[in-house]
Amino acid sequence: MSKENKSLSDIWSLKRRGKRDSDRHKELVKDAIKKHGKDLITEYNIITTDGDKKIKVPIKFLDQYKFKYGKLNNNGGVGQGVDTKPGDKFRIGKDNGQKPGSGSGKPGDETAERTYDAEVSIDELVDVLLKELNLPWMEPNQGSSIVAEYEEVDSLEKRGINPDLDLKKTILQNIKRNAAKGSAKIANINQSDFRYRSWETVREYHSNAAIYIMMDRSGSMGLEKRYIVKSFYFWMVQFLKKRYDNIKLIFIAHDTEAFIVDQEQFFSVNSGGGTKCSSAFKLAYEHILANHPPDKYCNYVMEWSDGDNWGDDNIKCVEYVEKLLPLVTAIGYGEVTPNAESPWIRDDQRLSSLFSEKINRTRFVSMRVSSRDEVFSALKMFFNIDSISKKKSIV
Amino acid sequence: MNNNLKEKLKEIEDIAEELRLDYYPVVWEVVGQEVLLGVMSYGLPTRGRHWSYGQSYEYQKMQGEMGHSKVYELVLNNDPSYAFLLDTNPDIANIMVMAHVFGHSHCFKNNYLFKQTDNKMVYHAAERARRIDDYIEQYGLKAVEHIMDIAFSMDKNIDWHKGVLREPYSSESGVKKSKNLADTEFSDILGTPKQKAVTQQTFPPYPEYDLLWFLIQYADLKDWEKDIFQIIREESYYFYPQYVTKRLNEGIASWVHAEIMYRMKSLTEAEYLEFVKIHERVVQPGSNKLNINPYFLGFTILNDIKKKWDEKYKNGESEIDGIDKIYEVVANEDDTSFVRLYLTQEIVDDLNLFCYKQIVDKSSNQIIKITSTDLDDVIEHLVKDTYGYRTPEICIVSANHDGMELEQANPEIGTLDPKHLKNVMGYLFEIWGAPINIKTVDEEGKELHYTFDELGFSG
Repeated sequence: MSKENKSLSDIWSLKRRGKRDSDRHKELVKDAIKKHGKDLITEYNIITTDGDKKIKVPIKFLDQYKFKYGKLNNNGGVGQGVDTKPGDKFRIGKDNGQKPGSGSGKPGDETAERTYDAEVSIDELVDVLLKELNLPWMEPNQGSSIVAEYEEVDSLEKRGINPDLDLKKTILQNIKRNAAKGSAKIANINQSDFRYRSWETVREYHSNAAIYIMMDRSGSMGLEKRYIVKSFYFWMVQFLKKRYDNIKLIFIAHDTEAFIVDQEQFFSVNSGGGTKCSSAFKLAYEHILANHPPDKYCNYVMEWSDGDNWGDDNIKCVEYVEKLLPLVTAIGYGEVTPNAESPWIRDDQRLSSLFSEKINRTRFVSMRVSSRDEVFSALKMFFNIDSISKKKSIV
Repeated sequence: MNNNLKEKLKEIEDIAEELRLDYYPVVWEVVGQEVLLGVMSYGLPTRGRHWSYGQSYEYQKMQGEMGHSKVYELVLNNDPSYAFLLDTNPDIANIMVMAHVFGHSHCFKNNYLFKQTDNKMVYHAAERARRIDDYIEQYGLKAVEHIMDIAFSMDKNIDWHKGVLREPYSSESGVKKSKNLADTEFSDILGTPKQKAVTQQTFPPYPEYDLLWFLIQYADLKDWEKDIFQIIREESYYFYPQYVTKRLNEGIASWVHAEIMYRMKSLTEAEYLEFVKIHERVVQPGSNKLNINPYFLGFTILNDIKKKWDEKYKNGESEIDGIDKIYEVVANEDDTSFVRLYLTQEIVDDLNLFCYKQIVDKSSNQIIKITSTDLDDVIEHLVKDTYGYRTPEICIVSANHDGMELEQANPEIGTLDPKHLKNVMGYLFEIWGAPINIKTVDEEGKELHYTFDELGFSG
């Protein structure tokens, strides 16, 4: 070995290079997430995560475009280690047909699609998606709070106008003065006893939202439908979290009757029986009146069903939505109707059709979603009505 | 390197001499997994920065974490050869790796394909990486990255036989470069076309397969863009032999490490047993019955050659013995000729090699149908699998101001991936500045034409 050979550390800065270029790759992946954020919206891993911690999203490696084969004619090869003869047939499992990685130190040109887990935080994703939704008001602290103004006694003064005279404090002052002279009694009230209230205007900023998360849990709401609903609610809550300091989630599950349940029950329990969506709207209405007055809370009410509502209940739903409208920032009704489903409910009998016909308000939206891919546009619709009503009611 | 390894290295070098191995000097470096992965993903320690290496790095890391691949060794084709030992490897594994490395280095120094590569590439690549850093500083990361993206999109489309150093087509071939396109009388009508070549007859004179070379010569590129194209093209020529000598190269390295370890006197019984375990993992057929481990096949064929030629030598039928015959094979063959000349029906039967076709039955089960266990069929299938960079052969049939005509020359192998095709044609359109057309075939073998022009991709 010759001594004058350059030592490796002279030539290369090995530790840094891989890191630097992989950082650049990650940057480009993030750009790609930005471009394709909405494709990630129903990603199962995201929906099932809890909290704001970083999550791993399976992302396809960026394509490096090349002249590349599409379909190879030679769908065979040479195998080994099986004592066999021509004409023999074997059934193979899915994995066995794949070629293993080369494992050697040469740059490979694997043709199989590779994916890896990009680490992003929910927060980052929410930002990406919000940008895509293009809702400027979603920026935090912009018209997002309800202002309650009232006057509050700030201090007591010796000068003032008669209506502001605080009789109790004045008499107390008189007693104090007499007590100092020897006897604690009410006597000789004069100007020096008078105490006037001084008012100060107080503004209270409420950044409170109550979100009514409602879902039909009748037998026809299968796994896939509930998954779509869950995706929708997951992102809805994430977006609203960006905007309000305090968020109350009220989960209302219903079949023909509605109940307030906890989150876990909400997504897991199915029941048999029919569907009366009005029961959920009714319960939300009562709950808002009792707990979340609109001057303190921005109320969001959303109901998902598969449209299989009892016919005579439809009109009741319309009634309750009308009642709810003045109490809410936004209210919506969504129908999950996967395409494969037999359309034995006539369209004109659907609650969504009735809603579209009867209610035409900026705060209300009725929509239909048939697959996971449409969750993003559903969110967009829902938050667009919110955005319009915001502009009208507050700004 | 610890003292044990140093002593063993001395012993290995002595045995290598005994074996008449002829290798470049080797520079050893003991490194951590991270560094090893880094060099692996670059293929060279220092290359112009590009995100694709970072992607490869991530991928390797992930594979490592999932336990899919354990990297034992890495050696670079260079004079001297740079070899990396993993600091977490047990000594016995690193001893085997050292022996293995001498086999590779012998192949680098003697194989007729590797001999044509730049054996100072490690240094040249480092210089080029610095130049690319300068370009990034001058023109911005995005611009440089984009030019590299374009170059990488066709870097596997080389013409090995014409070589990395080529003269432009002779002027008799009908090519004339106009000195300054702005001077031509139509320039204000036509705009300023990007390419410089003016066609009088057919141009290029014959279908051109070295796409980057053609663009460097005849497209209107800035000097730094040309330089980047050239850098990436030369690196592609440098790596090419590794793709077409995989079985031979891993075969010889495995044969050498086995031979050396077998002859080492200082190994304890326990160490030797440990070595045998690792060795078996390297040269085993592999758990995947449908894919052949190149280490295993190369190793088996070379052992067979050794046995036969030792026999011939003994009987006076050959002037050289088994070891020299092995070196002759390593010097003169690539994977294709290696398999054609030295795979035998006995080996096919012994290893139970078979040709198969993958079909899908009525209930959409994946079915493997055995088609043959005949030597000739096995050879043909193996050869098909190893040819070149496994990139569709694309050639430029004609090119001028009005456009460029491309053709896929080997449509019988497979169709072109349309998504990739669209993007690469977009790159070409950008570089050539005129519509790009390509002729290829669909799955049924029907002729297909795609165009990329001002309006984008159409077919």
